[in-house]
Amino acid sequence: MTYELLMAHAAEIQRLASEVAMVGLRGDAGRQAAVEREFADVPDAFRALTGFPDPGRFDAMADGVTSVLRGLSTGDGGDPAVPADPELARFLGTAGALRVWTGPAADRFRTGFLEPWPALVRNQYAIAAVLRSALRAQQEIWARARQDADRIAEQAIGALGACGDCTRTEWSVTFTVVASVAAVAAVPLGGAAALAVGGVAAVAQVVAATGPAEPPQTAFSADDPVEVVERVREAIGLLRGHIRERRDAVAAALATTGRLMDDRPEWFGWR
Amino acid sequence: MLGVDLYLLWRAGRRELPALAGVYERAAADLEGVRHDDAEWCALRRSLVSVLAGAARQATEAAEAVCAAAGEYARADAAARAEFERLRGADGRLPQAGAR
Repeated sequence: MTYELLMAHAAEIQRLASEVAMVGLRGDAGRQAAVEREFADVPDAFRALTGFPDPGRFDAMADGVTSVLRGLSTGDGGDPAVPADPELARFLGTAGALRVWTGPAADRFRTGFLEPWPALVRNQYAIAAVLRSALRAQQEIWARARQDADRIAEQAIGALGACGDCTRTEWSVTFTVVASVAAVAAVPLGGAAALAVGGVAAVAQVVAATGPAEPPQTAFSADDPVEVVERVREAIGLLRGHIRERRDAVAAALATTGRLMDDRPEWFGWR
Repeated sequence: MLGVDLYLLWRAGRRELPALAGVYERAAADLEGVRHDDAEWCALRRSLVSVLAGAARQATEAAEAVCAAAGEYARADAAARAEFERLRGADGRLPQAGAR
């Protein structure tokens, strides 16, 4: 759903709530004004959800990182879409040619770069994979946040329509955003890449491993339009909280990975 | 040093190592070109760009050193051959006593 449609839903909730609440007021202007004031904040409550980034804009960023992954791939990263870079494959065969090169510069290059290089390049690949996985996780957060916002609005419209029935209106909202990070495929590191020095591959799984896999359902119930709208405000608050938690989880995974690079630069060939 | 060893060393300095440097330079440039407004993501991106640029530098420096070494070995071999031929004499006979 577009933000225009979400705001149209917000206007519909405000209109329906006022309409249902005014039944029986019989033209009492004072009480009618009070009802309108009660629901005046509904559009603004939803407007706070319209600033979410467009999930589509993460595609170009993820594609950019995929091209980096292709450059750093030795072909054993576990991602069939990222085959070995031919130049890297060729370089792997040059160690023999360099054995006749001797002297201090040769020794430095051999011990500091050439010998650890197969592990270094896999760790560099793992970091790029974390960056791409984080982008996909963020994309999923915003895509699901939009869906959840739509569901909150649609459920509220349904609940307002049912107001006036003899029974208390009940509905539930599934906050799919809670499972958004876990839903993103794990950083694809299998085979030899998973054996890179220092457990970098394990860290690379962090982004995907945070958060539950199943989204929680939150039940709401209300007797009248005022309560329905109060539950809507509550649901919007919960949604914003869940978004914050998921964003923090991704940020924490990125920070953990960054600290690893700072603490163990030798695992990445960083001097 | 065998000619084939010298050739492979020269080729590593002229082709494989510069190609590796190119791979790293492209990867660093591609990654730097990905624009994002997330602070943590950008911080990790900066770290990786720095690693990749460093690897490109190392490969470039190694390529230069390997080329220089290959040239040096070739010159040493040529000098050794010239010295050998001088000592052996043009006709392949042993030089006269006292020649150095």
